Amino acid sequence: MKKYLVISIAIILGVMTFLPFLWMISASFMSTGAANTYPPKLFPDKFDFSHYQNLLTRLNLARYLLNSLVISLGVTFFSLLLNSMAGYAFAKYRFARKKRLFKFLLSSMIIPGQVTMLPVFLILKNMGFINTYFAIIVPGMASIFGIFLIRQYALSIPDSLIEAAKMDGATELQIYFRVILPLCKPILVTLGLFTFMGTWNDFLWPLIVMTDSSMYTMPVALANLMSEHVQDTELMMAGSVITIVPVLIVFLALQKYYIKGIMMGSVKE
Amino acid sequence: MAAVKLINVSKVYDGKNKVVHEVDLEINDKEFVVLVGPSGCGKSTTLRMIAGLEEISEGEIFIDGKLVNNVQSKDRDIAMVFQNYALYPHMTVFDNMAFGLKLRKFSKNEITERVNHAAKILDMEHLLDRKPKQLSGGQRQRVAVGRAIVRKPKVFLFDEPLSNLDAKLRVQMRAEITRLHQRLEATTIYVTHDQTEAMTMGDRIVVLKDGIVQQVDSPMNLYNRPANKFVAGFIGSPAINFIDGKIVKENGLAFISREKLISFQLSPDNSEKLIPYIGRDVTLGIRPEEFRIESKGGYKINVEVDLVEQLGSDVYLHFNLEGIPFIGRVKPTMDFRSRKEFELYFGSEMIHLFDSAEGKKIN
Amino acid sequence: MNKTKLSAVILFLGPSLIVIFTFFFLPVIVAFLMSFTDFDIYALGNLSNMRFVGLKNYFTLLNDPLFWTSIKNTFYFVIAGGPLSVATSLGAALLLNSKLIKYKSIFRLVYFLPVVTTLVAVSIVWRYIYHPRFGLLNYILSLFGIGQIDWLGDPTFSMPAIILLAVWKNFGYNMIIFIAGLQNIPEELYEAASIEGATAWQKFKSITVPMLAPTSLFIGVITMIGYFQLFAEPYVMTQGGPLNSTLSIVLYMYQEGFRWWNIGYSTAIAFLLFVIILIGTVIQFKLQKETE
Repeated sequence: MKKYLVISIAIILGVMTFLPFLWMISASFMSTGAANTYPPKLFPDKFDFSHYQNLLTRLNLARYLLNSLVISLGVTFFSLLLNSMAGYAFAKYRFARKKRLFKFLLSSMIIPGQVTMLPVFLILKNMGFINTYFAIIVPGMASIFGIFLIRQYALSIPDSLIEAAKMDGATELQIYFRVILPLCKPILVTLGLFTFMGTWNDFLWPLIVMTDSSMYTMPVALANLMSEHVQDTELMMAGSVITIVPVLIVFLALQKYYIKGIMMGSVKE
Repeated sequence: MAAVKLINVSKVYDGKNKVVHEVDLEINDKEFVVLVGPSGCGKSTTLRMIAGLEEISEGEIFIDGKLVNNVQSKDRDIAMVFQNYALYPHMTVFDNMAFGLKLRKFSKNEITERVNHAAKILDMEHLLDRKPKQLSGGQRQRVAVGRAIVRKPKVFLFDEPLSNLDAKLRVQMRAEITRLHQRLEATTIYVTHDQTEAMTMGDRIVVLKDGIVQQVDSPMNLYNRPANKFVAGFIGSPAINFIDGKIVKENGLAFISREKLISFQLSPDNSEKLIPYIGRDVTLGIRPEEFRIESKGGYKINVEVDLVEQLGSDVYLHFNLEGIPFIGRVKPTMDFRSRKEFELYFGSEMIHLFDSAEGKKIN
Repeated sequence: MNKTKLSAVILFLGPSLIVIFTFFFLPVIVAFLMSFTDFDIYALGNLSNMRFVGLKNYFTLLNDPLFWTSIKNTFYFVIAGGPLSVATSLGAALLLNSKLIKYKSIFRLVYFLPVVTTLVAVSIVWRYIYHPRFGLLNYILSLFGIGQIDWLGDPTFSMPAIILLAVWKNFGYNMIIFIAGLQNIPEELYEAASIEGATAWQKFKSITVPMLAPTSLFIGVITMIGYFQLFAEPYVMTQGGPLNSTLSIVLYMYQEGFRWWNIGYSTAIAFLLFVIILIGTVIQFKLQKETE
């Protein structure tokens, strides 16, 4: 009895969670107007791919996909490099005031990002980065959270491994590239995943710095499309699918790293 | 190959915490020297200063006649085997051994040749393609040693390399490292907390306590002529028995324990050294193996044995004297479990006397 | 280990610290200073048009009904949505931690899916789900005899609609943290309690709840911080309407700053948001200490 109750609750929750996705996907394949019927249909009568075609050709979504991809990969690459170097240094290097500096960085994480947005915008404007990929990539090249995540992981690497590499004749850079980075692979995947998905999904910042429509990322383009095509339910659903699918694929391929990352991020010092 | 020389070497942490005190040590070319002592005695720190992994706070270290205080590890021409092996987990055994050579830009042929040669010496040619986690503890240890020998360094450093192995493997690896040393004839400095390892492996042993060198000597001299109470207690298993007493003048000199359960005449050879200690507190040390069950001269004590441990080759007799636990180690010549009262004998030539306050040996 | 050479420290820490300083610490300071100026679209063209106005922005804010509306809306969202979201996460975590359920990894994946999807995209999807005539939600409600609700058009229902979307989108994240917390509770505690005759509810109350306290605090704090920053949902679904019923602090800040270029004013809003979040965090830590 109790068992069935628990299982049915779990299933109901699952259906409630999944239903919006199901409807999104099937509405995206319905022919124009078919989604606006009562009662709502859960499955298309026939599959209509025209919205996808429309989006990718006439409405220029391919360009926005490319923008999103370049920006997300760019941020991911540079932030992995910079954060892992800093995280490793915080974990293994010995220098004056290391602990204090790290604590200071951690405690500053309480400041919400919105505080910095206007000044960052002005700084990027001065640098001439507005409406370029740099406007998102450059400020995203390092993050305190990323440094924290790498540091936590790098702490578990035994000192003797670094010492062995030193005796083997490795320089600091060689130790980092040939010993530390390969050993940090799991956490790099995790952090890379977080960064990629976070950048892809981000809305507010690209909305601010990409004012030229050719530079829009997918979410911004989608929100913009919405204002013109609010009546085209099926088209908007197709647009949503295109926006979500890339992150979903990445997530499904690497989900265990993502889950581990959440758990690591929640571990208290 | 090279000699290593430490002059007045000290290590101070944070300007106040001194963990190694003015160590003077000369290690000859091709010598196998063991640094031994309880944990926290500064032995590893000393080794790490030689390795260049710790800064030298005071004093000078020379390798092959060259001052190395400001020379980086990689330029000291030394190799080290770590306690936890410190193998690179993402590299194969071959790459682990080749890494140092690659960084030093050796030719491919030279690298292959050296690695294969080392693998042959260590009997692990079949393991070269494996990753460290596919290896047993003993095999990992061998790779760590292999990584050291391919470099053909002037000096080998070992930091408790066997302490992660089980007892049986430890004995086996002990012999293997000793044989390897005989074969390579390289200067070797070996750190351990295990006195058996020290005794069996070292040409000379450096006993450290609280960062201070207690004695530097050959294994046999450490055993037979310990410089102080600490060394006497540290070397030997089971450990030496200590009992406090006094030296009195009584037809020559005699030792009398506090409750007078042990009293005997001291051999006249030492009289001169002992005269200043008359009436002062001294500690008597008798090694368990000096006790005999049959009288062949020597002094007799009556003991009540409360525990008998039979090891096959030997028997350990546990008893109390004046509230102090003693162990006697004798040959299994009879059934020791049948009774409690025994007469034990010991000779005066192998006893040790220490100044109770300072601990130094006085006879 | 030896002290690391300064050159190595600089090489490894320098780049990221420069980035973090330039795009985080420096902007925080600049923002703080700008909040005491009348930096606006004219100053954007020529800095000499900027004047120091002291606390004027903050005083104006306190008399700005729209700001108070945004505060009220945001608190509504945080106070109603936060606990609901955390409770849903805990419920889902307990479900997935129960021994009665098979195929846990599939359930976990489904529950987690909204977390990783693009907020803008799902906000758009939900906008249609909330459609008064053709929306899926009203259809389902009609099966239970509940009449048509204009979710996004009626000021009474607009915020609940946004809360529902937020809970749906976010509960999977905290669920994962709760699961980790639950799995850290030693099984022996429950076994010991069973032997002493505790009921399921008693076990939950006297073992699960106290053992989860640190996890709950963490979740409470991050959820609160995140929820105070409500932006994309109302931006996409309602543009803050109807009748400003979903105007959040960040949305108001965005409009003032990037639509009207009242930059000084906008940074003052941002700092008040920061202060609110800070106070909220401190209160949660205090509450946690008192219950301990």
